[in-house]
Amino acid sequence: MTTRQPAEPSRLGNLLLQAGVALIKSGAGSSRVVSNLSRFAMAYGYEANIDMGTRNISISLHLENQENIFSGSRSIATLPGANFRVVSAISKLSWDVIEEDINMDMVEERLKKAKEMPMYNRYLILLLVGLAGAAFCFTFGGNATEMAITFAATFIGLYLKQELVRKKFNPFLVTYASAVVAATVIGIFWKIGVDSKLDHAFATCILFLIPGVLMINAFIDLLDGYIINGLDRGINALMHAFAIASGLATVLYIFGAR
Amino acid sequence: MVDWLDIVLKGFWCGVAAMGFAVLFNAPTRALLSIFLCAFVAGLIKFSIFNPIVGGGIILASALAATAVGFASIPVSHWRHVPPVVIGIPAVIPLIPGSFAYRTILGLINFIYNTEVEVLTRMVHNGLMTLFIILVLALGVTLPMLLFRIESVKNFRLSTFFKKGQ
Repeated sequence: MTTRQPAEPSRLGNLLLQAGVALIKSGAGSSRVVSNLSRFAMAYGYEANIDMGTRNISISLHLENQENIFSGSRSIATLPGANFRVVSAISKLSWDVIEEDINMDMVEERLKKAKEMPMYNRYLILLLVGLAGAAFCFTFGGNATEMAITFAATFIGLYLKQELVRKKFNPFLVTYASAVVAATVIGIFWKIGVDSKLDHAFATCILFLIPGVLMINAFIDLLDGYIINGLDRGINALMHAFAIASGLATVLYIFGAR
Repeated sequence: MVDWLDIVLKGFWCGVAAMGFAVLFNAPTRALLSIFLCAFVAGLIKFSIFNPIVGGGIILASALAATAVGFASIPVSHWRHVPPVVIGIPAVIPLIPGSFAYRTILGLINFIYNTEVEVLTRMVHNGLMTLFIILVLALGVTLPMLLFRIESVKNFRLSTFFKKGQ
């Protein structure tokens, strides 16, 4: 570890808050946020005390055996999503800060770059997630027709989800609406008689909505002892699951599949 | 006779599904191939054990597949310079028990019309299977982290752990 001039505490504190907010928004688990930020602060000679939920973070900094020299907090307007590029970039940055002599300006610049990591092309996402839907259908025992229909349903459902997310609707409503639309596509194919039995397609067309990151992070948080955050994420995931179930139930009810 | 072609095909499509989710979660491009491979191996393990001739249950099969992903994610994340969850989470998503979840919902709707005990017990059974499989998936992915008590894989090697442990 390189020794360096202690950085200006308020500047470091603000950078830490920005990094923390970006990590939480991108779906990093609680212990990952704490370890990344502590590593960051340690590299500049400070000890960081971090208190966080899934929509807020407070950090206070102090030098060893000295009184508090910075405290700040941020609240986050949205529920955590998933953006692994941001998580990877900030994790790497926190290591580079320890191993290389990086000054505050460079950290600020790299953090800014990390937060503005590009997403994949929208149509590439639609294509690959559609294929993922078809893949699910195959692993659950569906045939080629069902796979093709599931691809179409996933494609249309995810297209709608992206549109609704962009218009900043409530995330659970978005999930419900997307589930309804995806299952309706299957229902229409079923009604026009493409295949008499589309069970596998119904079961797999809504799988692109499953909150996988939330579910696994919930469990990781619980195991790491961040019980409140774990419950928070777990209930968030359950509400998404309930929204998916309600959407599917609505469509099955309309099409009379019992 | 075990139908190996079917197992390999299912593994392959597990990999495809994991790739889709990796892109949805905006995983770095450098991690995509390793996510595909991890999910492929997970699929092979799951469907081999789940095969009626081998006779493992679906929970055991999912648990072992997810544990394999968890252990594989440590060297792979080291190699691709990404945190292990970036590999692990997309790679186990194809193992999520969608058909049990679907049958739970179907049972729930069915129970509105048909109040026989059998409908209820089958629904609860499907619901619990869904829950337990998701639990073992999460546990499997995080198991190496818990077992080796590591906060980061950056300076971690299996050999040094066993030396230190003596």
